[in-house]
Amino acid sequence: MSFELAVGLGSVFVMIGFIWMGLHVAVALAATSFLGVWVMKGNADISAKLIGLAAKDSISSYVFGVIPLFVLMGLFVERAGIGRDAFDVGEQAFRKIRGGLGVATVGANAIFAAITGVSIASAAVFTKVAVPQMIDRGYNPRFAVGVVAGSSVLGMLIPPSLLLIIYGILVEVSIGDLFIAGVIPGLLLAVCYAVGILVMARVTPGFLGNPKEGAAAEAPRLSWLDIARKMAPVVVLIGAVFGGIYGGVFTPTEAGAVGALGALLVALLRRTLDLKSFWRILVETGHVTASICILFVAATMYSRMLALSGFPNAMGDWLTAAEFGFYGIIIAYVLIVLVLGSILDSTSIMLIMVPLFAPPLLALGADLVWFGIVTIIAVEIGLLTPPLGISAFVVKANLQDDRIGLKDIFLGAAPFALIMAICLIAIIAFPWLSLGLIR
Amino acid sequence: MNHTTADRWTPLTGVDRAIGLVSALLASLGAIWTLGLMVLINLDVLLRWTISAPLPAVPEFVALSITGIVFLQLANALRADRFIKSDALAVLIARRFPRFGRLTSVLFNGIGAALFFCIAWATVPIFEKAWRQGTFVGAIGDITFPVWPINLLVIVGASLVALEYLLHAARDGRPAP
Amino acid sequence: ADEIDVTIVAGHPPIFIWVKNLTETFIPTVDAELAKTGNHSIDWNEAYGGALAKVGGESDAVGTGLAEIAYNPTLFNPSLYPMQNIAYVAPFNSKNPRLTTEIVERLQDQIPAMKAAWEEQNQVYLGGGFAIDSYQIFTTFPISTLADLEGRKICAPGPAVNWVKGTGAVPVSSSLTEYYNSIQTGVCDGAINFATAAAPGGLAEVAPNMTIVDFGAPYAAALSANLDWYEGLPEEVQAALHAGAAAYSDAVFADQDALINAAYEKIRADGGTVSELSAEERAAWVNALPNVPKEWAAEQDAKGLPGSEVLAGFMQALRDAGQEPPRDWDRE
Ligand code: NA
Ligand code: NA
Repeated sequence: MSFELAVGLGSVFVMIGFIWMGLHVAVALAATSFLGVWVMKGNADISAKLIGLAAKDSISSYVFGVIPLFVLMGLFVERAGIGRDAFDVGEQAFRKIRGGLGVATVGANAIFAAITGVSIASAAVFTKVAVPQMIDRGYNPRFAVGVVAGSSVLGMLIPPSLLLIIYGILVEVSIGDLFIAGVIPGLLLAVCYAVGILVMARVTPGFLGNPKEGAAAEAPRLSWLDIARKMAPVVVLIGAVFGGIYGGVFTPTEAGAVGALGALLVALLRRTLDLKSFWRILVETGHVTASICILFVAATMYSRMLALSGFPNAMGDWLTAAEFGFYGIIIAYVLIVLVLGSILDSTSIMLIMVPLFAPPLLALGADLVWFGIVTIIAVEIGLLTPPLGISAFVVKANLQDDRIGLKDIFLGAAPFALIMAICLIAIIAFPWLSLGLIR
Repeated sequence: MNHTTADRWTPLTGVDRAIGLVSALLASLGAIWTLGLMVLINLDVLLRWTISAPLPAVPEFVALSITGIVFLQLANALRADRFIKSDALAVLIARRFPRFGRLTSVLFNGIGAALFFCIAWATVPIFEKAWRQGTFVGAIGDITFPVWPINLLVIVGASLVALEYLLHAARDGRPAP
Repeated sequence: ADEIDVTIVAGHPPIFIWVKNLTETFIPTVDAELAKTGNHSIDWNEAYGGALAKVGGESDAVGTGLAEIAYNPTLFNPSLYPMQNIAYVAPFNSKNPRLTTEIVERLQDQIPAMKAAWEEQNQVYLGGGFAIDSYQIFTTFPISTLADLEGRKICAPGPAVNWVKGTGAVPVSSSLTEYYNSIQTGVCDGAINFATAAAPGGLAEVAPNMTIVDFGAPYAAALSANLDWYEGLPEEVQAALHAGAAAYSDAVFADQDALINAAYEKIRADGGTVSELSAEERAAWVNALPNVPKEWAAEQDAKGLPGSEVLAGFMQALRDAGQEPPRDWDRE
């Protein structure tokens, strides 16, 4: 092993150590990158330059604009009480089922996924909307945050999806095909989550906590008029965003801005927004945006340091030399992505791994649309795994509740990561699940 | 460990208050900028849809803005203890070994300060170059936006974050009352 | 024999011919040159697809010494390499990528300020110049006259927004990666793109009418090396890098020739039709445009750069090559 490779490998342990000791994740990533480049190049000046360049350009792109806008939309939606209304109705619909509100969260996420292209938007919105509701109803907080983090991944599997777009560009397959290919796997995952929750409610009731679904059944029922009044803003908002995207008025990336404005108008119409709460929402949006985006900046520094060490390339070379065969390579690929998913962000993993694996797999007869769906799910499992699990972080960043730690979120999301893994195996084994609608 | 604004036990020194004021001010700018982006994009969509007259170079402007918005708001986010961390183990250790916990806390806040000073310092030549060469986004003949103001915001924002980290380090370095 | 560590960077992934040929042509050629004497060898670290720098960030990565050699797409850095972007500034020039590359490289040899742009970025020009195949337009509706464009929204990359101004069409600033989605959702009614990028992206699925307008084949990129590092290299290694860059340029153009034919087949297979804009309508298009090149040249002149000289030199070189540019951007 060359010196650089050893540094690359070693940096992984240093970074994880830092994070475990409680250093801010962004600082841990950036400091490790700085040290790694310094050791490799023997020159701290070059380290500083890497840091400076990453700060300058890693989040400076149009797609990052949707982050504050979707966060803003989520906060306005919450302020307007739309979330509470949706869950009132969800509670009514699922009131007799143990774990019903968990199922409602998954369903609401699947619908929301059809209007958002980034998982962190889903995580941000439903942390605000669903977690307090579930805790109120007696759910175990750990389960509540787990459901939200777990089902947030639907945001990038069900189209539109930022990750699918990045993948499509990377390997030159039709983004339209990729979007359609994501529909069945997305719905499959949502259904598996719902089934999983119902099974957990029976088999491991302690994990769910003590939801008062039975008691709620005796509560006064909502009239149809109440339901209509509570659901009207949701329907209008989703209708505007959906209709806008599919009616050819704006792109999915513009949906954030339109959705935020729509939610603002709803909040104003409902008179739930005064100047003070409006300002608080703007400041809060800033906190969430800053803490997420600085992570992206630091993750970029880290993956650039890894690239300098040649670590990703060495891995690819080793793989080619080992002659694993088609399924051997796929399994190795998924395992590596899962491992990388514990420390790197989704986009970086795809940018590093897909170019390494797509050519050998294509040569062995793989369909690149299928490979794309496999990639997205494998990469998204990483959103839920420690120490770097972006979805869990977003939930934490949006959760103003010190009693729920990051550890609780990771543990709560673990069953959902497992269900994702099972779905991933199904999609690898039965390619028609992704290709059925397009081939 | 970091303290939230609410449970800060040290008397507010002048420095603390000044940094707090400046970071709140910058964060407000960032908040208004975000709101501006929302309005701008909606306007772009509306004009394009109704009279086929989209605003020029909106994607370029959004791409440029996001870095500025983030660095304007970072210090305030740190002050509100919103930087993401995984501190289950650290809390446990700090409870068992308070002095060791305080030491790592000072050390880690020191690392944070050094790192963000480094970001600010490394951005100075980037700023100088953008200023000297008139680096822009957009297209000449259409509309162009200079890049240097964003580089300047990175320098200011990162420096403020570094100061805030130093403040945390100084506070955690004191013995418990 | 000593071994030299070299990190080579490209923001695009190896699927593109200009990255693929770093691995398949540039590196093997350099290695083969060095093997002739066996005095030196290179340990390559290839960092492509945004691993070390994003598209447009390559110049900074090499300028600061993070990497030693870059595939440097000048088109994404119009303020760092303004003169090199001349073919984007002055459209309707030549549809021959080799010719544009040759002209820009010759101008660069003749006009010191053009070469100085590389030194200013702490880099040395290795060669390996490359131009994109001629830009065309892909639309949801057929175009036979300029009037067909009236009120239509056309997605265009950066400087190309100026290529539809004054035609009645509405330029929408966008990028290669967003065309498909933007057209599918109705944000744009078409896009300006080149065949070898439009075909693999399946653009004809959503914008089946490809119209040959020939905006030109602009010079877009070259290979560059970190200046300090390069100056410390033995002459033999420097020569090997230049030899590698020359072979790289030839290989990329050869691949491009092969791809263009395949691209047209793919566009037709996706349900697209290819038609050519008549000479009169093309002339009407060109004449409708404002003289942005002149404005650009004046702006460069004001900064102390030879903007007018480069524009005039570029146009004259086109005329000397028998190109008959439809507008004399430099003389109006
Ligand atoms: Na989605
Ligand atoms: Na992870």
